[in-house]
Amino acid sequence: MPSVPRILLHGLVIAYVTVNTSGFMHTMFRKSLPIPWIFTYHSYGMMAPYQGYSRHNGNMVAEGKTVNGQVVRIDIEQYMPFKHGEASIRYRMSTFRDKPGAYKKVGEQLLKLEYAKGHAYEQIEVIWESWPKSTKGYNADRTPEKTERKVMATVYARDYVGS
Amino acid sequence: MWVPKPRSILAGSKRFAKAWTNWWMREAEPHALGIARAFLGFWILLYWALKAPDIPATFSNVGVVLPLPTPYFDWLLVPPSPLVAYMVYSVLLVCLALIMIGHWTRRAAFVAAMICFYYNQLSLHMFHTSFDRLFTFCLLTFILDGSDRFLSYRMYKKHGSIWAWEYLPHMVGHRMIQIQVFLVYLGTGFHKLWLPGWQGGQILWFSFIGCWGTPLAFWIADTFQWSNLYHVAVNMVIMFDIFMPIGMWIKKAGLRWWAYAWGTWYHTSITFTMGFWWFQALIPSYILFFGTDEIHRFAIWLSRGGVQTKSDPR
Repeated sequence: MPSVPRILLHGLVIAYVTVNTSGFMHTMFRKSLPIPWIFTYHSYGMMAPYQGYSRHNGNMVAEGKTVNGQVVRIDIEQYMPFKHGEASIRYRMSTFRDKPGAYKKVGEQLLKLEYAKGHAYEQIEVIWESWPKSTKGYNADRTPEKTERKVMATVYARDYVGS
Repeated sequence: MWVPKPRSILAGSKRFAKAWTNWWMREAEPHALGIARAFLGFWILLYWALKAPDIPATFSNVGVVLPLPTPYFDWLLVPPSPLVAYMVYSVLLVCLALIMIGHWTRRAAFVAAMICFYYNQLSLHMFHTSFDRLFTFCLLTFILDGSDRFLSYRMYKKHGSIWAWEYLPHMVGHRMIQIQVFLVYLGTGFHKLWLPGWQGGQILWFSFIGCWGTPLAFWIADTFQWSNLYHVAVNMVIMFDIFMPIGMWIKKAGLRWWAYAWGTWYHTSITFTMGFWWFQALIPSYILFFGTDEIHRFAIWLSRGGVQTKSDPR
């Protein structure tokens, strides 16, 4: 007669095999077993390859507007200290269902953090920049002419007075 | 119409149950898992130790931290002060060091895995990488009994030598890491066959000159420029990726050695051209694909006879 720990261990193995089967099915066929999605997703996340490529580099920047109308580029690396590769993945906010909301939260946090450092901006824009890849370097073609800018969120200091 | 006889179904079920039990539940020599634990513990410790300067900005309220909303535990996911963040981080490092040396391994693995889940919800989810998941998964397997029964402080304390060993009570932890490594190659290899991005050499070319490209990759791309050789390289990667999960199990004709050599070359070249050094952790885990008795013999050789050839009473 197997002991209770042994039966539990068999149960664990069966659960493990089930989750991995579901993860593998999702990887290969975009079908999964009827188990909680989070398990399938984590299993899939351990076995899925790098999916595709882009002809452009992309990165997030933030610009603050001072009371006298001057636009200043904020050094966001001090608050999000990630290298190009990690930064470009993180800044896509792909784990958030509400991406505009996520970019807005970045702006809100930057507003508060910069204010704490004595930089009182009237507004902060969170911008996505993309520019063509070049063999000369990551930022080689990041020129005003070749760089596309898309404002992802704008936050105003007046909306956070007192907070 | 052929209908299986009840007796043959019963015999088949018995054979399956026996094979299943033998595969997962048999007692075995602990050397491969012990070596894998020591190395993975070291690797995960190194991975986290290198993040030390960035802990406040990544996991505290002095950085831009966007926790993943959950229905529960939202109170836990309020970014703490830098001091608290460093305290949690220190606990993680201590736990990983304990796993590496094999002392209080199961408790340390539990705490370390919980902190990794916490970090994932707090900030790491935005990076959502396969290696972070793999590392946390390995920590979870170390909660099971057995990984510190060789090459550990636990064995030193109990038997006076790190080369002393005790039988694994079961193979579950060993098999789980082994299968997860196998699935990394199986999933990535076969999926590439029909992923649109992998149908040509462009994926390699644009990776070399993209956000992950190292100075070496940029130099290669700029010096030799685009050519059809990138198509050839990508096709070779796919062929070997498909061979890898199959070949790593096959002893015949030394096939597994080709698989391990390919894996080593593959991960090392990715490290130098794209900076993904984290996946190098997979290379030492190939040791789990050898027979436990083979690694036992290797451990005897490695310790110059210091490994006790006879286990302590179970």
